[in-house]
Amino acid sequence: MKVKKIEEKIIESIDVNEVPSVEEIKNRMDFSKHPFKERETKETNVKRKMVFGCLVSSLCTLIICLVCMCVVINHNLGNSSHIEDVLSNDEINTLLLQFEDVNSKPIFYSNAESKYSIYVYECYNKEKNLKEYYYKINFTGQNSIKIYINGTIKLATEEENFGRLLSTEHDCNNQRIEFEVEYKGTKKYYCFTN
Amino acid sequence: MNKVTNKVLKALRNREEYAFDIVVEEYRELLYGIIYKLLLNKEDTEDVFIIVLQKIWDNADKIKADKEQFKNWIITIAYNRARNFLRDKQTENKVYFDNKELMIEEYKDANSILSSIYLADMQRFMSDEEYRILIYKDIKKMNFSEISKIMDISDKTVKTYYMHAKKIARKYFEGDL
Repeated sequence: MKVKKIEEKIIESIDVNEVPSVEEIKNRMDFSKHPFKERETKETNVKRKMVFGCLVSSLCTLIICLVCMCVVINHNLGNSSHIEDVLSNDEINTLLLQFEDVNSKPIFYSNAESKYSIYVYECYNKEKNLKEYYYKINFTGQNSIKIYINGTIKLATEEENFGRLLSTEHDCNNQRIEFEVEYKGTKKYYCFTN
Repeated sequence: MNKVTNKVLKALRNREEYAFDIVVEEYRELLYGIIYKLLLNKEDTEDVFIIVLQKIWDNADKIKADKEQFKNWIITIAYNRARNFLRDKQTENKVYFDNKELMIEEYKDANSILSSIYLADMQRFMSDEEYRILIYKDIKKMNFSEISKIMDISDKTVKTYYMHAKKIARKYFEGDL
């Protein structure tokens, strides 16, 4: 016997108007033990995905900000490493021979817009038990002059010519340095402000 | 009207309301019909009908997302609940339909259940012996020899009754009765 036909026969034999509707059935049933769950529609699915997307995006933004901060901080700190690069290894070694402590971070350097850049490094002379200063001046477009504390002026070229440091005034508080140098019979005065 | 699909059954398993609505709408008439065929009483039928749906809902988490299996399951529940109701009412498993005794047997599959219910409707067109032999042969899958022993009649007589019952069944299906 075909099941489909049997089903049809069973339904035909009853008065379908007597059969309770879905709403009538739900009103008579007990859903306290097993209540209905919210249907996961496309909307709730989309909402869930949007919230998740926002969270991920916020997290990514936060991470990017932290990375940027680290880069900026590192760059600022790194200025010192940039400045440290101003001192070559030989120079550092020379200074180390002379002094016990060389603070490779300059305590003074001139404005970047100036034609000259000058770096002042603080060193500690153990023998004299004094703080002394090492100056390095770079002249844009000109030979670099390095002035050591002992007054020796040495040009950046290989030519070993020495000038004479006549005077120095170094005012770290006001961020100002003044030099008077005599080189090949010519006196020159330099003043740097930060 | 939305149809019951495997996806809807999965949603029913998840106890989503829209799935419940679709399933109940599709099967309510069939389940009601099965129960009514056995109980033949509107009030009792409605009570058992709600009990059946409640049982289906309470066990929704066990539903497999297979339409055929699900249908067999709910038909079996409906039939067994109605049968238990009759037993509790101490009717000695005897129900009469148009003065013909309805055999309320224990069936384990939906096809047998539906066939037996169908046969109960067809019963009015055949004799008691023809009806019983049809049940034994087509529903209970007994052979002629076993049936003849139960009914205490010859094999030949069993076969004659059976052939006649099948003719009536054919006519019934074709709407000629």
